[in-house]
Amino acid sequence: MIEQLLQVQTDSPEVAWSLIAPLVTLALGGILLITISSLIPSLKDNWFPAAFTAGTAAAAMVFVVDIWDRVSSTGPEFVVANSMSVDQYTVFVTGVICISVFLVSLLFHGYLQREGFSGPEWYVLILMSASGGVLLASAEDLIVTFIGLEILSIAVYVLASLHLRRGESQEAGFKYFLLGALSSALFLYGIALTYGATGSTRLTGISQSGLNERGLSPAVDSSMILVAMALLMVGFAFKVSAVPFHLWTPDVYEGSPSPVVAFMASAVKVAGFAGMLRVFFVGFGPYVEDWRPLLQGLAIASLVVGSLLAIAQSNVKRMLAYSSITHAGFILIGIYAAADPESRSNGGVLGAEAFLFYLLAYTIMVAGTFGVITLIGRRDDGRHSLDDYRGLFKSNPVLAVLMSALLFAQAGIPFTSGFLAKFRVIAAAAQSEAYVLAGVAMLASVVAAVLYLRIVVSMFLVDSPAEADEPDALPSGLSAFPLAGVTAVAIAVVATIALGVLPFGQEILTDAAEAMSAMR
Amino acid sequence: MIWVLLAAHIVGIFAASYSGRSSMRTGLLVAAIAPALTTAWATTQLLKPNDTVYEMVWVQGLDLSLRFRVDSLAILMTILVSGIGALVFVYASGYFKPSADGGSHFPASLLLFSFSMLGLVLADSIWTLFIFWELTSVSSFLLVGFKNLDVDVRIAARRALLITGGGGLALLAGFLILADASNTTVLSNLEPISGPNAGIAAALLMFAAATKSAQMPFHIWLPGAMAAPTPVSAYLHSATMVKAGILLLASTSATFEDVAIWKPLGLTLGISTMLWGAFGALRHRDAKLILAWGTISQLGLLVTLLSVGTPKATFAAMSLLTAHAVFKAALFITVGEIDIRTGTRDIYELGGLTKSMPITFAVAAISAASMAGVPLLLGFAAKEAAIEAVLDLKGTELWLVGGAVIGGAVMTVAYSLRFVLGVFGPGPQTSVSPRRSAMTVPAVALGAASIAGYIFLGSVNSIVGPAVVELDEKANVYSLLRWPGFTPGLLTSLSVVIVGFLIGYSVSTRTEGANAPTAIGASFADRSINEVLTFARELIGRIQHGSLPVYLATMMTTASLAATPFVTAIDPDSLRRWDHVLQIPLGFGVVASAVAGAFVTTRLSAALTLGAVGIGVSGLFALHGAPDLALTQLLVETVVVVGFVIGLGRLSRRFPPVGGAWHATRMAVAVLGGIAVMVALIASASDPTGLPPVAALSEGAVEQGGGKNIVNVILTDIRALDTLGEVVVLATVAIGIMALAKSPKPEGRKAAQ
Repeated sequence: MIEQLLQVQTDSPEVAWSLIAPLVTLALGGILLITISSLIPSLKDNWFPAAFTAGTAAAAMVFVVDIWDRVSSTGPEFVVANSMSVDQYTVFVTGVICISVFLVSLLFHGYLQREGFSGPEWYVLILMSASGGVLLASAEDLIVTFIGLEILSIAVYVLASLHLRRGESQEAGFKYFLLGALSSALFLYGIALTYGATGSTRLTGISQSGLNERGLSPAVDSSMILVAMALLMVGFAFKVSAVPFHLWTPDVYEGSPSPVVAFMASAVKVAGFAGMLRVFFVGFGPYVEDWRPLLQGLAIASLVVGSLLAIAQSNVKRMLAYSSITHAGFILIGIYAAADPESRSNGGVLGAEAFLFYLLAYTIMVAGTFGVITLIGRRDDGRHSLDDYRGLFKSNPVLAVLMSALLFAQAGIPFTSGFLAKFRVIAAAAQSEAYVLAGVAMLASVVAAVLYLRIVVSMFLVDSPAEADEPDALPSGLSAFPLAGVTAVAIAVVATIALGVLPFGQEILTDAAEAMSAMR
Repeated sequence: MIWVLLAAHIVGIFAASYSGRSSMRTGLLVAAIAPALTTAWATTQLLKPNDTVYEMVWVQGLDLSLRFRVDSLAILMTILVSGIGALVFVYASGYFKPSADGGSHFPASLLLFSFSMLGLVLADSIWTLFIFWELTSVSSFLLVGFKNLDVDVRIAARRALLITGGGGLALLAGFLILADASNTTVLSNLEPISGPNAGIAAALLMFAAATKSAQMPFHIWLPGAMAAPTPVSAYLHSATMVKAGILLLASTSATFEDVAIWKPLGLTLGISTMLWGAFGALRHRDAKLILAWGTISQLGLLVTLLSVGTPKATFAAMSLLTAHAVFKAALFITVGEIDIRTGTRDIYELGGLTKSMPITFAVAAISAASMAGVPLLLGFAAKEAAIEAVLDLKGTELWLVGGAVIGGAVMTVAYSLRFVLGVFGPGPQTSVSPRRSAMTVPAVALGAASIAGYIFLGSVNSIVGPAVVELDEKANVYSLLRWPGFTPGLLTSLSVVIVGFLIGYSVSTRTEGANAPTAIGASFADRSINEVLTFARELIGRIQHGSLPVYLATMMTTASLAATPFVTAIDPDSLRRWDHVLQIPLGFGVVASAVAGAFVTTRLSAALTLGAVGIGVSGLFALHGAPDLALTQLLVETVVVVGFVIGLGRLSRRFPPVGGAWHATRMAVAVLGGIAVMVALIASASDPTGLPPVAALSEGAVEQGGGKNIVNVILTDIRALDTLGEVVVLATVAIGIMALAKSPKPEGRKAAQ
């Protein structure tokens, strides 16, 4: 019997494991973590899960560096029966996701101890979600894309509601789940329609069916493909919280545990954008004239609504939720410029560089910002009104300065990565003659600057209305905060300023951007 | 060297912040070191001819570099920025109590501004200029908003940030066009450009300059910014930051000389600002606001002169800029001292200060006289150059510009006199607290500079002259004159002084109209900002109501309506009634269960009706010749129903009651969604692309997978990767459920209740 089984020849596809090592590392890391900590329960409550997770992210990062070198010399590689592709673009995005996991795992450590939660599930879910994000970024088949999207999302739905003592957290998770499920359904519907219109779920197949005999403009004259694209776009727009699919964002950001928001705003968003870009660049490349206006509409709406509504908030987490919507608008402009059919050579690459740099810079700064929010949220994670930040400079000057640097970066003040990110996006938009977009982006950035500076000024206000004898007054001095969390914030700040001041890494960016432009 | 000096500023920012924690005074004095060093260095560079470029490429692909140029103009501006900066730091150490709050960030912020301004005046790349321009706006916001819990002050700070920030954007946009049109980002290499884009760039840069340099109608932020502590006003809002726009106009005017709108736009802005500012200075009774409005007027004069564009006018503008920085800083410094020592700045309350504050009086009188253009002071020589320059014009320009400048000059004399008489004139004796030498020294230094500048006019010429030549080579023939002889220009300026004196005297004796005038335009701007805020709040209330069902209904409706175009794609011929008779009862069963599901009131029956729908659908699959699919569907439905039932145990038995209208809406949305899916399915069936994959699949299943249950083979073989992915999804779900099912610790549960 066994002999028989062994004799069965299956021509299973060859799997180039070394090329998908980061993905495997993240997913297996999660499984391994929950296995180990179930077997040895004493490991649950100490530093082990955080260290393990950070270590897993670092290990994945090592693979990322290795694969980068490989694909730099060989060019894009298709793996697992051509259902995933590994090129410099994928590798770059994977690296960004790993950075996010690393920072967030450090934030989790102190947070879970403060809130009195134990258990490795938080970390496991982060790792699972990240592996979904990597899958999403590299998927060459809409079904694989969908699976990536699901793995990415489901873990985060749960994470959003994991603060079991806070009703807001449960509500946030529930809302995120239901709206997310609807958007997933729409996405699936979009896949079905795509299949109906083109007979393929494979991205290259979709794009080929879109070419006519001369290999140029769309030949599939069908409203179906348009609606399919719109539905797929809705699915991604929901993940990256672009207006008008942003409705969940403020509620969920406010209710979810703060370090989880750090993950949502960084890795989830990055993965969403990366997937959107691959699906539309590779799969719907021939229809670029049809979907580019959609991007433009989403970008303008996100910039206007995000910046306008942010200034009316008084809760810092809600403010930053709206600001993340504005940032989504900026990133969309980067894609818009990168997708410029006229300027494949120049504006396209500029736009691609802007897009990738923005993803990297934003991930780091937003993780850091929510890191500070995590640190000063007090027990039960509920102290996030603007008033809670008053006088922070007096009680915790270092923390206030770190936060200011991060907020300056979000506002796009020079000598931070945020400035270069916005500058690149606007320059790329101008290069591809999207003057309206560039103009709206600039206006939004001024309005947003008011918002961030409002938080900064409030931290520096001298009178602190906080009653000093309040039971849960913010401890003064850095040593009162968990070391891991402070380290994460410090890393984020250093990276944010370094990226804004030092001109390194341009070659990496250019390579990844060229790989990205080559997908079209 | 530039790098060292800039680095010294950055180090200074941290050092000042650190040392300021113990006392404000120490922080300020530490902060003064970097500007003082810079001034010393710039002074040594004065008489050498030099033109050095320092460049650090930042981002290659974007032409983004930090590029600084040390030439005569940069040196002159550096001395103004850093020299006055160092004096202001010393002054501020007297202005604040040593124990004043905010010591750890006020000196640092002020030094940050000093750093930004230094970078701005040295910049030789449009992007470098832009970066430091933005930094000045931000640091200015931080300084104005400093320490003030007052709502008005914060509104003023916000107004200033929005206006100057808007200007920053215009600058960015203008520079983008400029860089594109002239193919360079180096400021000193810009060539004259023309064409429609040039017009837009010119307008944008003019707008940027107008916001920064407080030109009409954007001047409204400057009076509001007077809420800042006086050292800030003296430094930012009179001597340096507001000159940034002027500097921008000066360094780009050669580029835009062929652009038709450049000159008329500049003249309109400049003249109206000059006159309106002077008028404002005559209306106010807060001494600081008088100076602020005077600054607006002077900035208008500078813009006017630069827009005239003749070498002589440019020369006059730069001379005036220098003189103004000196005397206006001195005036602000004295007002700050008076404010601190008497507790008021209201010219109707102050009196008798000539005796109690003689040094302050002397400085204020000399500086005001210099501002008015009274002979034997630096301001006179500069004003004289300005009047000479406008009298050189021809035709309408002479009448228009000449008339306006002379009118403005008359009013300047008038408000200068009103200021001096109002603050120091006869009146009830105001009580005065003791002198602080840290405030006196900078005041005396700046006051003496107005006299020294006139005595050593030759040296001033050797500094200002080459600087102007950097802007306009033809300006090398001009120099400031100690005494021009009895030219028409001198006669004009003497009569200006006399007439202005008379007017000023008559205005300053009037004391009625005791109410301080409100700033026209400022309230409008604030109201607009507030309207936007209110609108935003309303919008939030409307679209961000937090109601999950409404979000869902909205999304569902939108998505369903997106299916509308499919209606045209339906081919009626492709429709068949049925393939099998049993489809009729099954179809009815599915529809009936679905409708029943919408009306049942208990959760259990809802779960069961949903299950019935699923089972009916699997029956339809079976009839279509897909038993494997039907089997799978049946299994899934069973598991789902079981899951529902388990979950329902923790919920109440019945649904919460739903209002009739809302219930109807929800059903309508549901029906709409159903119709949309149906339409799309029929449409895609009407126009099939290629052969259905079933043949290929069934063949592949048997040949490769060795199985006849095609669904199973798809899951395990053909799309094994997807299945693996789904397994990961399930694992994630399982871990998630496990985490969620953990009950909170008892202590936590109490807190939640």
